[in-house]
Amino acid sequence: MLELQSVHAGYDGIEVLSNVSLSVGDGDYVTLLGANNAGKSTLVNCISGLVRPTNGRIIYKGSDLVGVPPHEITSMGICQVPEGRQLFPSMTVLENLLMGGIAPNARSRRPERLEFVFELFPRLAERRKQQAGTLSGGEQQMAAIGRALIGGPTLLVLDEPSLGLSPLFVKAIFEALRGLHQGGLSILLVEQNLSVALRHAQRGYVLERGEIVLAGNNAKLRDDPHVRRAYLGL
Amino acid sequence: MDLSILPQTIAQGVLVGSTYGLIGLSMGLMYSVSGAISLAQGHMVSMSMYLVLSLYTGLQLDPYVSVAITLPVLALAGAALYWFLIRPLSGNAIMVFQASLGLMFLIENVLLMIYGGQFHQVPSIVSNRFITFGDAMIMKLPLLIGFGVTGALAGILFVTLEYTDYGRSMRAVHQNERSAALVGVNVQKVRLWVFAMSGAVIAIAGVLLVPSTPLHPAEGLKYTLVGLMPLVLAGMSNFFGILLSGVIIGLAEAIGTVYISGAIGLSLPYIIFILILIFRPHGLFKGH
Amino acid sequence: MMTEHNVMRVMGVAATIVAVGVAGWFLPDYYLGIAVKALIYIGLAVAWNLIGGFAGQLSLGHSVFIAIGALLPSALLLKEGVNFWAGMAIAAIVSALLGAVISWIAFRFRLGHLYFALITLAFAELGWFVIIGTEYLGGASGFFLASGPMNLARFEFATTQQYFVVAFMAVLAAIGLSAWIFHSKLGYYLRAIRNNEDAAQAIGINLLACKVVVMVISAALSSVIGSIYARFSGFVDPNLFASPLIIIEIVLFTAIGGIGTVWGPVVGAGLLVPLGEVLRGHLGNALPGLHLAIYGFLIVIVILVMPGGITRGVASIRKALQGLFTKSRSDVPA
Ligand SMILES: Nc1ncnc2c1ncn2[C@@H]1O[C@H](COP(=O)(O)OP(=O)(O)OP(=O)(O)O)[C@@H](O)[C@H]1O
Ligand SMILES: [Mg+2]
Repeated sequence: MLELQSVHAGYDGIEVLSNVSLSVGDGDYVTLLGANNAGKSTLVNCISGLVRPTNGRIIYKGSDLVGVPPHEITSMGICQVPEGRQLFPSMTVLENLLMGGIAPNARSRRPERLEFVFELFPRLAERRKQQAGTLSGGEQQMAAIGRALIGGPTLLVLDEPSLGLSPLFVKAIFEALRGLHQGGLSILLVEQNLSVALRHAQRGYVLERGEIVLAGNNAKLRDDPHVRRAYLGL
Repeated sequence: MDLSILPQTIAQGVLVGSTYGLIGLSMGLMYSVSGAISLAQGHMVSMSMYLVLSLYTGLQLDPYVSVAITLPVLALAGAALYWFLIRPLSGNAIMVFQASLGLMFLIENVLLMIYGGQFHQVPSIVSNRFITFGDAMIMKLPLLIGFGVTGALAGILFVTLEYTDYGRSMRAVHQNERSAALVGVNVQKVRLWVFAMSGAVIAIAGVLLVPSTPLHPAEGLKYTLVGLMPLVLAGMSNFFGILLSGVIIGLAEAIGTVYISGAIGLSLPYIIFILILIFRPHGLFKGH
Repeated sequence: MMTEHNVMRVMGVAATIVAVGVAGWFLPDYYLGIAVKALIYIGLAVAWNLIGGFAGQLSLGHSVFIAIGALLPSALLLKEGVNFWAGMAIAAIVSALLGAVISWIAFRFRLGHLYFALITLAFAELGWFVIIGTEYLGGASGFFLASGPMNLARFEFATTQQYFVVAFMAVLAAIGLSAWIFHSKLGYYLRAIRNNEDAAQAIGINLLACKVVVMVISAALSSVIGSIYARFSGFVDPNLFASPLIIIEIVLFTAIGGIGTVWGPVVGAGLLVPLGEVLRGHLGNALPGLHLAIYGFLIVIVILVMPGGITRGVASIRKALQGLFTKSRSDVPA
């Protein structure tokens, strides 16, 4: 469904991603692993159209996404849950969720998706009138995921959703993601938290200093000596 | 001090101030989606007023009718301002600020070239109508119309911002531009529309000012200032705060002119403005 | 340390200054008048650039300092018989104090750049009203300063040549001061503050002291040059000296030349004042406003094409050309 072919990207002439290739198939649950500054967010933003690759192609359902503006990529079915949630702080939870379905082709199905999100995260339903900026970190992450879901994605891209959350919330969020995946959604999960990511995803890639250094199914990654040493501290 | 004209003075201040609030609102709109301010907004007001003049001399249109033409024209001008000035400077507030100073020269002097340096007056059928309230107040009808229109616009703006996708998109671009793009807002298009709206508000302010104000090319800076003060007092992007602060400035102007003679009277709005900022540096509508 | 490159540079600048001075001296009177005006605006732009450029605080309140510099010594001279030199000094001190107060207020409330500009613009308008309403400062009609034969002790000059010399020396001093500040520790601190106030504070820079000092210098210098301008004009018109338009013009000159550089205000005012005068000379009578409209249009275009100003634009073009040369050279196989 999504295929990155030798993507290069950077800022102000400094290359951050070099020659990155990866793919996410229909119904896949893929994780992208890497330490701080590896270039994970840059990669995610290339997919979403916020960063323009300097070279390479990003093929989604047969067409190249390079140069397509972010709002159109969202309409095409790729929704991103950005790093650090990035909610609209002085809007209510409900308004944030409504914004998720702002794209013209998503508006008509907004009510039913809203209901779906409230079922998935009942906490959000309770707090629908609260300002998003005053939610706890875990609740904000739920709202951010909910907002992306209302766009009706076929591919959900999450950038470090477990960042700064208590184990309880991490568990709740990953259970929700498992349910969504079982319902047919494709997921690209960016994580630094390898143990959690590898427990849930089917396969993954390891990004180091802008390059893919390792790829494979989760068992292979978990048993890889380099991964064990560098990321799992074993 | 003649207190019998106080109610009249206050009413006058409130009514004029609501127009100042509109000018501030036009700046607040552009600031909220681009983070930049054009100091040539007051000159755009002049431009719209002169357009009303031309429509009057050329087609005998009453100012309140010609707004049907000036509104789309100024909306286009606002959109052009975004497209040709703010967008190329990628919203860099300091650059936009500088370029807008140049724009001030341009507009003011093009107006001078076309209309000359003398004062002009555009009458309206309602110019010399008065409405009396009891025996204490006699109000010029144009000012009342201005107040009514401002109130109506505030209502429309409130409903739009709070309850429509369009208003929510505006707020989203203001609060987090990247997230807005990620959820599917066409940020560029929202900006373009909001700048057009800002121009439309200018057109309305212009038409409201015309029947009670003489036109002169050099008045632009004054309009910029009376719009700027409410804008700053309200903390830049609180739209209702801007309209309210406009009334404060209008009141200061009316009371200063009627009750305090000389320079202090004329500069009362500026003195009030600076005093408020000293005691409430973050504006009137934020707790701090 | 003076490298060979720096020596060449200093000599080049010195040669240019001498050439301009000599050339200016021999200009016909009309053009010499324009040259004096250009020099005065260069001085004002250099003074403004200290706070507006080096410190990044876009003050639009400087028209008040210029007006004090122009009107106060004139009032003191005409009404109290105070020597013009003394009047200039008093005006400079008043302006400096006022500048310190403004700086303190801005600091106290941590006004952002844009905010500072908006508030000082209101301050400029307030200053205009107050000056026009103050009879002692000439009210709305201003003053006439009669000038007899040259008398240095009374700061009176007779010919345009003499004014040229005075303005030229004042501008040299202003540029010298500006260059000195730019390369001094203070200049370095100011740039740090402009780029990131919090970071500057974190490394121990005293924000308040830096801002007040540079504002005081800038205000006093603006005031002194305002005094010279008043003397040169003869007619001290509050509508020229106290109107916010004068500072808006000065900001534009600096922006076009290159805000925050030593030579930006010199290049900007040096090009635009003569251009404005020539346009007015040729077009002003044909259609009032045309020359200023062209002027405004040019300003907008320059800012769009070279957002950093002419000096930076030229520097980057030169760099690009150099890059081209070194590249083509390295292409040649050794
Ligand atoms: N907008 C930007 N402008 C300039 N450089 C940037 C920008 N965004 C990221 N970078 C740089 O690109 C590199 C990769 O950053 P990126 O955010 O992609 O890493 P990451 O893997 O997501 O890190 P983290 O785990 O901390 O989120 C970093 O060195 C960063 O400084
Ligand atoms: Mg990241």
